[in-house]
Amino acid sequence: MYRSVAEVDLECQPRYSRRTKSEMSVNLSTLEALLQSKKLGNSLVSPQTLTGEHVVSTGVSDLDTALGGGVARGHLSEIVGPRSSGRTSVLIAMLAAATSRGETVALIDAFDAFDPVFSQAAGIHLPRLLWIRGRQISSRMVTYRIDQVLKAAMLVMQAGCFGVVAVDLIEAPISAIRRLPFTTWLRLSRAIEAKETVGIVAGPVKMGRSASGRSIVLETRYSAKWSGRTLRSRIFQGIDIDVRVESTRHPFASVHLSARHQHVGMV
Amino acid sequence: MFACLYQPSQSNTVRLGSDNALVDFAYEYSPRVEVHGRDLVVLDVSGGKHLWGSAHALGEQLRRVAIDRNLVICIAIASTRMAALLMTQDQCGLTVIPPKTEMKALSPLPLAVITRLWQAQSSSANMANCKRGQLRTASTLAAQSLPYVEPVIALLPVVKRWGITTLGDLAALPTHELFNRLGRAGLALQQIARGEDRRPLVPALEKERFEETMTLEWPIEGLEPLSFVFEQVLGKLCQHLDASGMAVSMLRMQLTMVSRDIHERTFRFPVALNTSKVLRTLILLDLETHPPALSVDRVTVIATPVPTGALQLSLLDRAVPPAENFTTLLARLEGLMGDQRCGTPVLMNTHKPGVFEMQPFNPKGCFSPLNQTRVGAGLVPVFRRFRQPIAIRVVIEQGVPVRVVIPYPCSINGKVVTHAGPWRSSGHWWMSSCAVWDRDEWDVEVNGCGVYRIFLERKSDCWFAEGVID
Repeated sequence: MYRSVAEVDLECQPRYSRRTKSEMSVNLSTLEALLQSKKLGNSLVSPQTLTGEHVVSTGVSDLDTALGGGVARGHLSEIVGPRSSGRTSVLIAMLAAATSRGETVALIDAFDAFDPVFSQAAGIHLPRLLWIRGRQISSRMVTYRIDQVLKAAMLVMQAGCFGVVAVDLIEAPISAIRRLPFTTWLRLSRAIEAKETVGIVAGPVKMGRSASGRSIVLETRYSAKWSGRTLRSRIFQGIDIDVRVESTRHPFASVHLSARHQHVGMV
Repeated sequence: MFACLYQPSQSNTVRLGSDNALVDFAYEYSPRVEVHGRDLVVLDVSGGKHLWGSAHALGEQLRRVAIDRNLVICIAIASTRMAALLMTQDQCGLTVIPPKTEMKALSPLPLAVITRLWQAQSSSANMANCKRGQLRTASTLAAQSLPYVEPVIALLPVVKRWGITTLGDLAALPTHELFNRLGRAGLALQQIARGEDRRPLVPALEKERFEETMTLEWPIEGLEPLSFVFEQVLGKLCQHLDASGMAVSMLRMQLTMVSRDIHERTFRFPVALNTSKVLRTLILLDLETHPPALSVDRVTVIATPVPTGALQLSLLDRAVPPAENFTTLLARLEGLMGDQRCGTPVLMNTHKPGVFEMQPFNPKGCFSPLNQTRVGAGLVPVFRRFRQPIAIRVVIEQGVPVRVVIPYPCSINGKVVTHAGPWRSSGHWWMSSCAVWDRDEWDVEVNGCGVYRIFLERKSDCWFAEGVID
């Protein structure tokens, strides 16, 4: 006969108050061991996670502050925003930071929009990048392409050989993304659980993230900056980005970022 | 019993036949052949009495066949290799030294035969193109230690100054006294003069071929039955590789179809592998996209071996995933996304926009930390490229774009708020027409829709969108 949880609690309640701290820590360890044995260890929130010991920098210090240290390893985070809001810039900054840490990164580029020249200028060490290219978006076969890319993402995340795995669905139509079942993101989250991989999904709308993942929402439309007083001397300088960070375990945070070219004008 | 075959150098006699004729000739009589050079080999003919009769009969047969093949060689048969080698340097034709009479047979030979033997070995030692592959040559004067030969040869003038002119005189010297005066090199020299071997015969090894074949009783089709065949074939191959301490860098697979055509695929691995399971997975993944046209009745796999690499790990570095994981992952991704869709971009040395080259992703060296820090370096605006530029409509007023219409996937029809340009860019005009580019580029900020790079193709006078800043 099994007893209900309430009965057990009632029995335990009188004794609970008399327990010492050491007893509690022993019980906590036992409970954690039990959860680990049931493969539910990832449901535990350790103090390390909250203090940011398992997070990695995005390469942008202001954004790191807003994120509470960076993005979490072993969890799926997302970058969301409209066109020209700086989604790709943030994504590439994360990849560049990872390669500069000596990690190997993978970019699953759904619609073949990655530009190696600009990305190298942004700091990506290209030999450490595995670039998986889809095909340029066309009105036909969008759903098939997205499915193909998600399969590739699943393979890469399951391999666990990469520091950061980024899935670029930025050009995907919102309707096609909304048609995807929610379990898609759950499967991706499970694929990188307990791994040293940071999963990033970039898209036009919110898709899904892990429990300890972050949503980096680029709130407003672009704000392009130009230099030069005359028409002939005018050049594009960069964009200003407003970012809102959402997380279930952290308070919301906002930050204003500026993306500027290192060189004069465009590369 | 050993037979030494020596083909005098080209300056003395006319060389006939191929460069490796002597080595091939030797292998016809014994599998245990010590190759001292292209012109000098020693055969182990022990146990061949029932085949050839006496040593003299064997020598006669060797001489006769060599003459038939236009090989001008000196043959010496003795119970020690050194005696046979020295005898070929002095006597032409056939010489047979009965057992236990080596010292007596060698005694009248001059000391110069030792120098001649050394020269013969040195001059013909570099035989890189032996038919049988990388045969291991051996030096008999010293036990595979070239530095030791020099002192032995260097002693000959000393011994000559003592008035010793023949091998017999040298062999007759008291060993103890010789050691006191000349050391170990002196003893080695005396052993040579007595025709004694300092080490056993070292037969040349044939280059190993890592190849496995399975001929099937009935033709099969489909991947599943083939996977079982590959399991057996690759299992044997990997056992062979493992026993030799090798791994596969390149694998060639040949499927002989019922029409006798051969379906051949070649696999080049970024890292050397010797795991049959991984190899089978890679082959099957490739066959999924490149299946044979007909049923298969013969499977052959040929491996290009490389030595298994030793990996030095460090506690301070990140954990390195197994190379097999990477190779299998890349093969799966290739199968899913298509050829040339996975890899590492490499920038080209050109000003042409959007030009790069895809190279296979190489996980080697990807796990060492770079000596650079980028954390906090800030954001850089990045360009999203339309790999095929999209044809657009642009309204021009007073020479500048004022309105842009970009079709799917952007679906934009907006007023240009800010623009910068034009920047003229051209190149490759010295090459074929398809590689030429000549255009005027503009950066335009479309009202509420983003910043785009558009360009006017000057030759066709058409506008295109190249990408968007994001």
